[in-house]
Amino acid sequence: MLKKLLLIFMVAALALPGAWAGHGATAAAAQAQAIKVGLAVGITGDISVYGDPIRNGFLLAFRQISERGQVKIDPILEDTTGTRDGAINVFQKFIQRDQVAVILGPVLSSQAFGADPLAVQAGVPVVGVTNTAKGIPEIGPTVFRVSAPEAVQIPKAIAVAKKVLNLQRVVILYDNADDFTVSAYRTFAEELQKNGIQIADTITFGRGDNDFSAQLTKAKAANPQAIVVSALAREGTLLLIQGRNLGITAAFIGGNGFNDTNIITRAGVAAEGLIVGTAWVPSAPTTVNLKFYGSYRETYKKEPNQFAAQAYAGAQVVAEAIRRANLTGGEDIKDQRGKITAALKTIKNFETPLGRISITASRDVDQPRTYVAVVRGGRFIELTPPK
Amino acid sequence: MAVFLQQLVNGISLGSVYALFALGFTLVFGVLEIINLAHSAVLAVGALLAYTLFTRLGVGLIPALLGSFIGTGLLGIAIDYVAFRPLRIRQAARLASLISSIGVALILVNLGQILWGSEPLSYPPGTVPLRFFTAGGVTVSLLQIVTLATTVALLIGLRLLLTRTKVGMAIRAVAENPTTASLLGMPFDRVVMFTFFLSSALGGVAGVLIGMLLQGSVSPFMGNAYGLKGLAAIILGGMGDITGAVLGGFIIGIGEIMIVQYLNSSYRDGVAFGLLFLVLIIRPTGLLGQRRGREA
Repeated sequence: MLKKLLLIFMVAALALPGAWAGHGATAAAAQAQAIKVGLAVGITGDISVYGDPIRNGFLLAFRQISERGQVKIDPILEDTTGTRDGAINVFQKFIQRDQVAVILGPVLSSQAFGADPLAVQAGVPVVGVTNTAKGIPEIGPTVFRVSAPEAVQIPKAIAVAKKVLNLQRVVILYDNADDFTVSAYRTFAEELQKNGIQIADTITFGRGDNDFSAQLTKAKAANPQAIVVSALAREGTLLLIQGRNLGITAAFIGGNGFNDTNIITRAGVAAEGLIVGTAWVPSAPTTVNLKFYGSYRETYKKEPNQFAAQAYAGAQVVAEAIRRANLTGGEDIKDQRGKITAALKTIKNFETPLGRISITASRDVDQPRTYVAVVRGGRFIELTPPK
Repeated sequence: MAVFLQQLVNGISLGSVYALFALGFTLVFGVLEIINLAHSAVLAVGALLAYTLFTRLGVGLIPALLGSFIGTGLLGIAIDYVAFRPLRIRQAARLASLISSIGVALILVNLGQILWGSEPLSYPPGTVPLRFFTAGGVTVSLLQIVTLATTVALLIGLRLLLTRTKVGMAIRAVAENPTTASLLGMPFDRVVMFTFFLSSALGGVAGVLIGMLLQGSVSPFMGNAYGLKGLAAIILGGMGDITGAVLGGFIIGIGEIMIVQYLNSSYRDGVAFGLLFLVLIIRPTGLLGQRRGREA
């Protein structure tokens, strides 16, 4: 049905040249056809907690971009669920059936490691908005990301936590069944060592586990000042609740997986004192961020989170690259893909809710300002070390 | 010492959850020799049903448990009717019912996502008694005690039902030899129906108890963590033997926890399944399993 409608629109656009372009003075007169953008998001499955705000961020950005009328974009949303296979299927559909020019997503780093190589092979540019593990842009020459990697955020979180808590001794708990959480664990361990903080014990669990009492009891027995956790949202929430139930009073320090207000809602008081490194805080006082924050709340009646902001920024970056590529929409799909890939590399000091970000020569993001946040009174607030 | 005791408490708690799951799982196997892989999905549905009863109708703990018991019990009958009965009538190979049960599991989990969403839920505060007792550095929650007591009570109840009541004897007769039982006038279909009701209802109760015990774990996927462990528990204990299932559940639960504490947390599943492997080599029928008289 949707496809048919689209076809009718496209025919209409062809039959009436100028009807669209003449719509506004700012419209790119040359672009007759919309550029297809694939959005690979885990909407159902165990990562839907992340998928919801990411989808909202994408759609909000594309709606505002189409209102401005500078570029014509046709976003196609597909559900990857939480699995690697799901992401691979969606990528195959995007690349072969839908013939998209560029892909945004997938949600998890583990999904990116599975699916991105398909896009690289087909020469399709991919922009990850929430993939923070080490080695994402290294997957291939068409893989980009706008999400500040763990390797940038974690050192900051540890440095600040060390000052605030006077950290000397911690226990690490991590999920050894997910690429992202393993990557973040390694960064945590390295960074703790660099800071001379003793790791009393390192304990693992697996994605999908429900009961963490054994790990938490063992962690508690090591008597740490803080427990460093590398987990996804579901397991992270359960860990916080069960930890407090077992009478653990040590602070929890989390990775990017904890960057979600849903965790506070679910874990309640158990989330108090949780420290995370984050790429975005609601209070960042830039015009773009205020506009994003306001329109997100107005549209979805919910607070945006870091993932929504990153998705919004990713969509902005992609739209900007499409604009700079000067496409008419009539080109060969290979040509479109190549030109967008080249244009993505030219994004420098680009204003987004995450601040002014640049795409580096190695296709990674350069985000000058990241934050460390702590949960106090049921909200994430910026944590600043005492002077 | 306190750490050991705390881990023992954790192990017994985890074990009683596995045991509860395994009870219903083994019942269907014992009677019909069907490995019902949809049992973990039924567990999730039970927990989610209770969530709806808590939040929409505002009922208390006992009505929620009861509602879940009946709801999942009826679901069990429906599952048999749709997924297993047609295969039984056509005398399909046993593998067919295993595959059919995987299909049911997929449908239930996805249906659960449509009805309840896929985000993990917690039972509303106040519905679940959150009391903790601490002595000598060991914390035990009221819910852990309730779960253990429920498991033991259900085991005893189920044993009494199977050995002391008419229904139980009918179930055992059907399990022993369906054809002879039917010829002797046993209402085969009704016995099967009752077995599925009971098995699924036990799964539902297990789901509610897990949902209470582990706040924030209620979701259509929550059963996934128990499917394989439950299967391991009933194989370890002896397929089809309900006491064996409970014993198997406790051994795996306590074993897993102690491995995390005293060996390495990465070996948690490896050692649990390794233990199963060993038992099967030494005693192929499982710990309490009897050699089956009938040949398939």
